Amino acid sequence: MAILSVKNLSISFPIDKQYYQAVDRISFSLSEGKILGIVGESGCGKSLTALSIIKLLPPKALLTADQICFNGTDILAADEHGMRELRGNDISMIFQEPMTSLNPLIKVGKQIAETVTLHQKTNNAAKEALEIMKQVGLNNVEDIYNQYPHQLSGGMRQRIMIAMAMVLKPRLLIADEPTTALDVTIQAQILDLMKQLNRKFGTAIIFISHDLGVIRQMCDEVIVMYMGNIIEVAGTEELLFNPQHPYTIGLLAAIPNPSRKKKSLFTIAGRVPGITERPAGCSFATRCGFVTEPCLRSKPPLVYQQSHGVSCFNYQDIKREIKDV
Amino acid sequence: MKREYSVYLKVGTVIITAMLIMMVVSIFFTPYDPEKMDVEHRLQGPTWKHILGTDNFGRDIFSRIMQGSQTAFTVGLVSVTIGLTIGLVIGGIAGYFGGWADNLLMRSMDAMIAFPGIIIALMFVTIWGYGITNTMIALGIMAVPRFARIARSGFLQAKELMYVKMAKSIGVSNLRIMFVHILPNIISPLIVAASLGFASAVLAEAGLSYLGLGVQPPDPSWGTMLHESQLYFNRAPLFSIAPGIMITLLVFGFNMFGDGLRDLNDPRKR
Amino acid sequence: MNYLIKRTVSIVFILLFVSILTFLVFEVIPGDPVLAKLGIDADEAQVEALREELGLNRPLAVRYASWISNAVKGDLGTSIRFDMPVMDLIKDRLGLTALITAMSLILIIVVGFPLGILIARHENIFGLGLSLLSQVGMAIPSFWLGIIITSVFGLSLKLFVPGQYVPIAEDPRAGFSYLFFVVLAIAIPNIAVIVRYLRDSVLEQKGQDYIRTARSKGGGENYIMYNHILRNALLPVITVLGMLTANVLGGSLVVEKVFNVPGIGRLLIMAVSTQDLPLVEGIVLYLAAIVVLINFGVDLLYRVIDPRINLT
Repeated sequence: MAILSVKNLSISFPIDKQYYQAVDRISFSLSEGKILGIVGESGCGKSLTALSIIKLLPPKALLTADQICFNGTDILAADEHGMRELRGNDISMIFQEPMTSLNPLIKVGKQIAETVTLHQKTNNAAKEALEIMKQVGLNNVEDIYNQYPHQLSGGMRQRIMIAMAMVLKPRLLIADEPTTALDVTIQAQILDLMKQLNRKFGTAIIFISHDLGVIRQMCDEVIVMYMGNIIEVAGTEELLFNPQHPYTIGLLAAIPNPSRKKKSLFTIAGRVPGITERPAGCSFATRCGFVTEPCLRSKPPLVYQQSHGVSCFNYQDIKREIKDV
Repeated sequence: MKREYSVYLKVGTVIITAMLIMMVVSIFFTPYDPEKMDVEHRLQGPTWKHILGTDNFGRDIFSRIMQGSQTAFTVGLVSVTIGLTIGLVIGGIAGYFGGWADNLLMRSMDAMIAFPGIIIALMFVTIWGYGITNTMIALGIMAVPRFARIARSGFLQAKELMYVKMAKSIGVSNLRIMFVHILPNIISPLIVAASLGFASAVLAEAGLSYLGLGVQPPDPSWGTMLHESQLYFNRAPLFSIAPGIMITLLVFGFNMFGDGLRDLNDPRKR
Repeated sequence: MNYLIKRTVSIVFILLFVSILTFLVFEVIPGDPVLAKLGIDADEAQVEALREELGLNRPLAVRYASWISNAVKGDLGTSIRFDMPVMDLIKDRLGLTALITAMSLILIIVVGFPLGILIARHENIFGLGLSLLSQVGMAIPSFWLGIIITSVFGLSLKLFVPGQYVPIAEDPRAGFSYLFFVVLAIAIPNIAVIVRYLRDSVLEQKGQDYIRTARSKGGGENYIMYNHILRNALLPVITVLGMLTANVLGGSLVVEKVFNVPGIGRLLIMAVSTQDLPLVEGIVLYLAAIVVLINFGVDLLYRVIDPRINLT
């Protein structure tokens, strides 16, 4: 049963009176209680995709889609009031920078309790906040409740953010690079915590990252995005061991791997084109080593073999070519 | 409003340019001799001959307004130059060399900021006397701390930059580093401060001259005109209104220009 | 306590510096005050006697020391023109100027804050228009505004008699209504200043990450404005209040003349135009000390309110 289903989602921005596509007709769905990873370089549209699900895009952004359906609610049709009831209650979000994402002048406990009071008429908000603070692995919660964000460590702040998002046990949690700003050891703890909460409360998670290593630890399924397009989608293991798209292959090869000491570090040549200079055909054509004439003319559709989708005209040839080397 | 700064810049530039044109024209041409008295036609209302009327000595107000712009620009330019020069030296030394020199100089700047600007100016003219020259010097000194602070923080930051360290390591002299390598990098905040400083100088000069302690007659100044006009508001309201509007416009123009420029250089506001 | 000690030391230093500066400025005055007092015909013995009496034969440092220690004790010397202790003259006038300053600050806050928030909430052509208007307001010379107010409300509408200030002690109602117009002239340009700062501050906070977080929790626009943005936006504006106090005081000095109000500004201007040096010196020192202390208070307030700054 899909808790979230998105069909042909596009996001565009006006630059000098002309609209440019930042996200281009992407479709995906997420099953209840699962963790979906979205991976890609910065500017590929992964954060915008996440923000569009709770309709928190920048005001200038133009959002179109055939469907965004969450748990039976039509998000596309929902008005601001309806969205407000969903946010924090059924769909929560955590962000990359826990320091700047918390209000510097409000005690962290109050900020957690605020999620409760925004949605329920209750006198128990503080109690619920303390309870969830324990659940996210904080000690001395009574003391921490009365502290300000700057008094806590980075890891603790991110735990506060998670507590704030999880206090009402939402059905869906959107995590936008939640560990990027943290030290590696803290990162592992936070990932662990999110997995735990996912199991305990059955909260589905959309996990956004540029780090395939982190994605691998966390996710059941992975979407690879490049310049506003989904170029490949598959189960995590399948994607990691059987990548099809030259971009995914490149990404995986760029991860330093001790077992392949001799080979030089693989890099993807060139840079991501700016939003105003997107090619007409395949978006990866400008950097692809296997580019052919059709790639420049039209955009390759996302073709599925079982549950593994890839958007490339030549993926079978490429596979053969790489094997031969 | 993402493009607010461009509106500010445009408005500021238009006003300043218009004022500049008026000033340049007034050097060569005014409808009447601004000094020529005509007591028989004093305090007249606006007519086709005198579009802003005449003052208490029968002088053409429009011509005096035009000529007053020369004083305003001179005072603004000279006092900003004085403030900028001294401020740059003080801030440069404080920021570049640091240590006790920094402490002493910047604490002195703090002390100067403690005085409301007009008090510094009043103190100065008490001792050295009134008149346009002393007014300009007083206002220039008043502006020193503002420039010194900007220069100091600029030099402080620039000192840590790699290329400055490199230049130092290959034996480029301190003075050359300061003026050839660092100065161009802090020029834009200084221009912003100069523009805003110009506005405050014009405003302060008007205040001093209104009190009769700044520019002295017969030197034409908008502030002096306000000083002379106050008694005659009922008979010739334009005599008071016109100089005030000119001061407001010029100050507004330079403030807008400075603010617009600052936002243009602020990546967060673009 | 570290901050308080540091800050107190720096306050003392600044005050010391202000006093030295004031003292030196009046020391380098051209001309000889003794000759000025006795006239050039005075004979040698007379001049010498007066020098001795005024203590002008002592070294500069000694003279400064005695001047400043007297000043601390409340003795700022004697006014030449009024032949009265400077301190008494200041005391007589200071109350009125302080009242005007306080009334102006209240008006600035009461009008400026809501207006700034209102403007910040309209990020459209209306907001741009109002922000341009506030820029115009900042450019208006307060004394000119005073002249306009005098003629419109005083001469034309006859709401008060220009130049005829009735002391509050005699007739509180007439006194306050007269002062209201004085305050209006001082406050309007400063209201524009605060509106502009507040608007910039609110707009800056609007773009912060934590606002997005508050939205993601389900907060509405109004809720977020009053519970999240304002708290953060008002804090930096507090520091502007310190600067504004100096502005208002400076404005009051000039506007007092427009309205013929017997405050410290009138006294200072009279002292300047009659070259009454001890009086000018005393007033300058006094006002500077007040501004320094007010800024200290504002800074302290800021630190007490902002939890991110630790006082200890």
